[in-house]
Amino acid sequence: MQDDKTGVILDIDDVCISYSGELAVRNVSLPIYEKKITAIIGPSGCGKSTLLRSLNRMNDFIPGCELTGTVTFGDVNLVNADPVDLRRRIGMVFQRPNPFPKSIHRNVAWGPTINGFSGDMDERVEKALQQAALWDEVKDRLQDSALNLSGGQQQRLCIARALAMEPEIILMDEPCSALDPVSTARIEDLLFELKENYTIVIVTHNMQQAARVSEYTAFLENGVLVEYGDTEDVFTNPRNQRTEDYVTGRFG
Amino acid sequence: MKQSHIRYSEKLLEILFFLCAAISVVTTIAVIVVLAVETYGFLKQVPVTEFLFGTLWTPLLEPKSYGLLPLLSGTMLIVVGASLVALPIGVASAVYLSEYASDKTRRMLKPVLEVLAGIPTVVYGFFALTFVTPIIKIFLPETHVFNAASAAIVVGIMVLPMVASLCDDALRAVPASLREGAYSLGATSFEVTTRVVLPAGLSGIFAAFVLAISRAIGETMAVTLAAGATPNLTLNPLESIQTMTAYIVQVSLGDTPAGTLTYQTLFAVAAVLFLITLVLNIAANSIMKRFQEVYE
Repeated sequence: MQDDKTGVILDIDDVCISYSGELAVRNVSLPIYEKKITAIIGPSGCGKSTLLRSLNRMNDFIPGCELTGTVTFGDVNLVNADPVDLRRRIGMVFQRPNPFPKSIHRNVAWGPTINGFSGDMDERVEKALQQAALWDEVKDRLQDSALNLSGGQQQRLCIARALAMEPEIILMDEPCSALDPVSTARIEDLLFELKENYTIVIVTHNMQQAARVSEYTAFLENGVLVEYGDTEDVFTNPRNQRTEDYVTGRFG
Repeated sequence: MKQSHIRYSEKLLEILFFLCAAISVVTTIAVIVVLAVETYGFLKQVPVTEFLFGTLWTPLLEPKSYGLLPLLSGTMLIVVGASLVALPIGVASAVYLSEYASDKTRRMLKPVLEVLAGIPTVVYGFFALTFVTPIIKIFLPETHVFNAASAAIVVGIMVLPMVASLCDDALRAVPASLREGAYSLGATSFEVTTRVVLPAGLSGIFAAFVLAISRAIGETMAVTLAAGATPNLTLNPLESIQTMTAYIVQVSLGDTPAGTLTYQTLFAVAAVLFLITLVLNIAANSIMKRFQEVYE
């Protein structure tokens, strides 16, 4: 927004994303601040997930998906970066928990293993599980299948799996949409602890969640960034009528 | 009045459809009964231990001997050889189709695979005899004109489309979310394939293997043409052998009178063949079921 770029870890500049020629995200410019939580909200189909997934190049797997504009990460434009390297630094948690059909331990160790981590794996796994507030529940059954965990536990395991890579940024694509309110509350608590060390971008269509957890909020509609600012301003004193209608629940 | 007329014809159709469905069931049962009766008659004259563990199979020559092992070893040579060809290439093809090929390429390649599966097996047998065997002979001149190796190679090629197609199904049944999870951790395509997709699809791949082996065991035409008609207890694939299926062809084409012991060997061999493939198919089915449950 402003010219001051201090603390900006990702600078999204004039990004357009299209699927087979059809624009899904239009000229979005947005800063992502380091060690803060940025929420992207908006009605279904507004392009918020598309925008999020472009930040670690997950749209590469969708045939016909094209991106223009720049996303500056450190000193690289991640649009041209090596996606494999990039994803090691920018982790992701998906809408539905997607643990591998392997043991809890191997799920968390998976990322470090393929990236040639040579330190103490048990320690790394324990640390990640503790950061994800799952350690106490699973420490006695690390060799059990991850598929035996509850949905909420599986999602925290997926967060632990991403944390084990020690990424700089964690992207979360509606991480609580498949969870019950208790599990959701646990994950929201977790987000507060994680932002001490990590930058988080979270897509959600739960406005209360965005209001509760984030410092900054971006409101997208039909692929257009309608409003971006401090979460408090966006929710209590929106500059745009559409934003006000959306956050007060008049549509969406 | 009209309504009862409709119900009457409904009932008639139901019976008609039931009869059609019953045909295959009744046929299967009839085949099993005939196999069992004739095999029982055979085993009354030849002790089951001689039949299963005897090392000489000469039911058409004097002195007659009814040891199944040469036919079993012949069949196994074909199965092992065909597996060595079909399984690695089949899995690799499936990996390409499901993990690397674009939708367009896939849409072109899948029908080609199915065409390959539709080539009459006699063509494969002919191909083995006139094309594969001469090539093997260039490298290994001691190879017999009829030999297990060339038949095994073409049987491998024959079951390859099935292996590739079933493995492709197994890999595509692995949810895309697992791949995304792996990619999001900075994995390369190769790592995603070998460390997530293949392990997750393993039971389906295993089931494909079992079905392929089952088909290789039952395969008849190519081995009759190319592998020979010499019941031969050997592990050397360059020698002429005879498989269980090829034996059945040989006797069926001859003028063996019904009711004789030689005639009954047909049913005894067929019963063994049936039991082996039945067990394999049941195994494959139960493996498939288990892998379908994993993601539900």
